[in-house]
Amino acid sequence: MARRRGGGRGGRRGGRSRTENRQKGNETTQDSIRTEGVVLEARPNTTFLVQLDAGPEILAHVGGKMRRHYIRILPGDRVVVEISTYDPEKGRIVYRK
Amino acid sequence: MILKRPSEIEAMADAAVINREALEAVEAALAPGVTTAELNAVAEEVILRSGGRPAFKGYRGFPATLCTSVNEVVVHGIPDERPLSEGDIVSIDVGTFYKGYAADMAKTYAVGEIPDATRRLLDATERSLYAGIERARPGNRLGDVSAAIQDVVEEAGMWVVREFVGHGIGREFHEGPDVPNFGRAGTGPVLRPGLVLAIEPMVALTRTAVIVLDDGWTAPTENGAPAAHFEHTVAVTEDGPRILTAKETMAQTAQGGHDGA
Repeated sequence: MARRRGGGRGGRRGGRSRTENRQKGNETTQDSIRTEGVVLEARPNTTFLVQLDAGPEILAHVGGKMRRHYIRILPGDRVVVEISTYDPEKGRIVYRK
Repeated sequence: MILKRPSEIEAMADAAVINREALEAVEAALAPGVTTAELNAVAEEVILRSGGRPAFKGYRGFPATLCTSVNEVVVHGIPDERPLSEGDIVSIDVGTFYKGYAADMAKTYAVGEIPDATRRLLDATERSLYAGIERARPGNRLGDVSAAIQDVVEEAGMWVVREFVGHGIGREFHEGPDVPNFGRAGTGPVLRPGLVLAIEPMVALTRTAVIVLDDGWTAPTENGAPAAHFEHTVAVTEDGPRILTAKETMAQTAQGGHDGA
């Protein structure tokens, strides 16, 4: 009998209607690093535990652009994560592979 | 992660023999028109007659000896009065307690003729199980087992179910560590002799989430894709993996020679 993992489906909250004309350009700034990882587990409030390819596990939320387009994240997905240089424990999922 | 002494592993092997015999009895009874409740009765009879105790019955309130998961149900289907029909696939999962130790095993069977794609699903899932078992050696890491399973499944173009995982097994039915069927080689805890794992790839034909129905158990694929489930209870020993629930000897499995379905 298989053991059930915590989590299940994440990203079930609807997208917010935010005006399109935020600052021009990418969410990336010099203050963040982009890396890749694998989603281990869905956590409350559409956050996810992501295992980075470099090793560490970080807590990441789903980027606003992804929410707007209803891109769902499941445990096991490979994702691109942007990590703040101020808090290396936290990140934002910006792309699902 | 609880390591077992050799004497404990022998006790688990005894439980595994009863468990395997129960599954073989189910296999012999399997035919179109048979209900899963009837199969459940067959397995329960074998386990009780051998002095074992069905491990699932009462586990967190599960009502039966077997999990019978038909077609799109991945795991934890509850036996009922619905007859199996030609073209179905049914995953039979059975667990036994004997002398204080548990064994756990599952296999997906075809009922009569099934479509080619479904046949490939069963083949790929079973191959992924043996690929994972092959990596269950001292000094390897748990991620090596997981990655080997995932590689075989994805090579076949199928989807590894993430919502459920294998587990350590011993005096408790579910022990640490979790054994996911996906992951990266070279990560996770190092495997040591005496560790016993229930390795159980669950595979869906296409990419899908898995949901749990209101009965609290039955776990079908969200998109209705058929799913397969193969499982062995495997001890990590100095000499390599020992499949407690398999009939064949270790030497045979080391050569990759298993009898299949």
